[in-house]
Amino acid sequence: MTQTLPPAPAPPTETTLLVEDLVVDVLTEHGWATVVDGVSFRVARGETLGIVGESGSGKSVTCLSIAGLMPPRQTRVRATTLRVLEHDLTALSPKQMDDIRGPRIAMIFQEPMTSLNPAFTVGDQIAEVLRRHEGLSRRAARERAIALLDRVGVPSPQRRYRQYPFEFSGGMRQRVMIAIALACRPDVIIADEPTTALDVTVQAQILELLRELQREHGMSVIFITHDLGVVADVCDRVLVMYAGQIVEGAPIVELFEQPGHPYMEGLLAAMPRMDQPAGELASIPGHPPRVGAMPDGCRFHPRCRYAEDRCTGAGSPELVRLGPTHTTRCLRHPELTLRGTP
Amino acid sequence: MLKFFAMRLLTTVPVLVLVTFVAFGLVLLIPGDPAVTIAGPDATVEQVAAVRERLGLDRPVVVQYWDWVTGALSGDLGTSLFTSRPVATSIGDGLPVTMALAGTALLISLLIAVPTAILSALRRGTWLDRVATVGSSLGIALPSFWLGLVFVLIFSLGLGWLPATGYVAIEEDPAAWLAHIVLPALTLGIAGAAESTRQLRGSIIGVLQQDYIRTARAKGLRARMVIGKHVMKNASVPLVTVLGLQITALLGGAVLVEQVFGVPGLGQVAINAVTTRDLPVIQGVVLVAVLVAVVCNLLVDLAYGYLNPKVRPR
Repeated sequence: MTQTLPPAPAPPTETTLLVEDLVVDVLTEHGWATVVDGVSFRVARGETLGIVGESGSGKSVTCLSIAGLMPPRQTRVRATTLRVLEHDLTALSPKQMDDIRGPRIAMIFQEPMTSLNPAFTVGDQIAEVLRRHEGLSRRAARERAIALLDRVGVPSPQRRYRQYPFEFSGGMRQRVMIAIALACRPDVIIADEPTTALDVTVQAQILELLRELQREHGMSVIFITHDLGVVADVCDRVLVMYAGQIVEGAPIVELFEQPGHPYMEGLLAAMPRMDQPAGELASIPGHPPRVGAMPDGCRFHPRCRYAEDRCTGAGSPELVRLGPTHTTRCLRHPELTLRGTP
Repeated sequence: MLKFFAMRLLTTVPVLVLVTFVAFGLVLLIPGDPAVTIAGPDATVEQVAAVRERLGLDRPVVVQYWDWVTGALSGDLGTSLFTSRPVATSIGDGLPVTMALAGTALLISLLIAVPTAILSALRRGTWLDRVATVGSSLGIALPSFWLGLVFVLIFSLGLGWLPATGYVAIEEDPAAWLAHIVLPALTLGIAGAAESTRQLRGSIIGVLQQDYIRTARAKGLRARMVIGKHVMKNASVPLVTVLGLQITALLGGAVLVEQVFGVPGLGQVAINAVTTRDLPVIQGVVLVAVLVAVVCNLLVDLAYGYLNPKVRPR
């Protein structure tokens, strides 16, 4: 699938990550199935891009594929362009990708409880990144790791360096994960639901920490989440994914005030709000399509309240531009006035 | 870690006391009177009584036990009823041979199991994995005495590469020692190798799916670092459990393999003692075998402490 888009206006700053027409197939019981279908986007230096969507929409697979972390024998990844700064990722061998992960792309995962190796000290797990990529001595790596622990807000870092993950709380472990991701000052950090498993208060602290660090280091951040509250809090621009495709892309304020796709309208309506009485929480009827059983036409049409005959046939609609930075994959967008949140 | 070691060492004391009870209790459990056996079928009642007195069997059991334990503590396990050699000397001759055999067997089984399990787990579902799975099933199923004879047929009688029987002490001639120990050790180790391969393959596959392995790869660590460090340290825990059980099995298996290859180890001593009802020797062998097992289990627990920081006391 290729996108026929009018040329986008030149980005004002340096592009750190450029993805064009990313297609990911995974091996299922019934053969190969496409789970990410023609995803394209760019991230500028210092920008925070949110990717939202239900579980199974392909947002995590998109990011794991970019980082080369999908299991190779059960996955096929293709892309017209996959570039981090000057590095063309499509041309790199697995060994060369090892050199990209860490100093160029770093990741923070959802499960802080299971994402750290229980058999090694926290300090060792931070220091090994530095030893691997910057060739630091054991001593120098230790100094830097302690400084990193201190920077991400782990109290008494000297002592904590020697402790094991099971001695840390969930929030503290996520700080350690951030320290690991930050260790080699990456250009792009991909945070895959980094706060989903945490308490709300801890969640706010972690988001604040990420924001600070981004300002400090000028990193690009890709923030994967299904939590629109978090998106509104941290992201500059958002991509909405549904059934393996991007269905809408817009700057944060525009997306919330004037959504361009019925799916996004549905997501916004499903958000709990303070000014609404309890019990009136809306939800989108039906379920997302299963992998390998995509509906013909617009993939959202079986659940869309605005769907009409032309939405149901002749291939998936193209992504079209609503404004200079706003795109949608809806045939009826010119005639619809979708409701956002004030 | 030191505290953990000390604590663990302390808990072996009751075990050891229990072991001396059981080993000594053999005298009471084994049917027949050793005095009658020694005096011979034609002995008179007076002769039997004389033998009994000479052996101290007429004294209360508690006194006999105390003598035996205090003797054992000072390295005196009594003398053989038949050869009149000190038991400690017989064991001292046999034990190093059996230890060398069991140790080499363990080493060989690990040298087979670890690479096979890693390759098998990483290439899951390929022909290599299937060959390894079939091979380990065979290794578990084939009896060691048969395997030993087959090895002798092929490598000694057929190819003439290695001696079929006998043993040379390592301090006498290391090369000859190696030549003599390879076949028995391989025979003894192959079942363990098969078992360890299966266990390790399974645990590696499990660990590979853990989130922290994805983290290790996301850090850009080299594959050998991800496997050798992050996977193996976690996947080794079940292996260590299996090894702990295997050590005891190795001691038992050594008895058989020593017979097949004519290796003068503790197994030979044990078999001779059992066939002649040489009680002091049996007691001594049991005591030493259990001691070895206890020490090995201690090592296994220490390995747990190293591999899994959660089991260390704080």
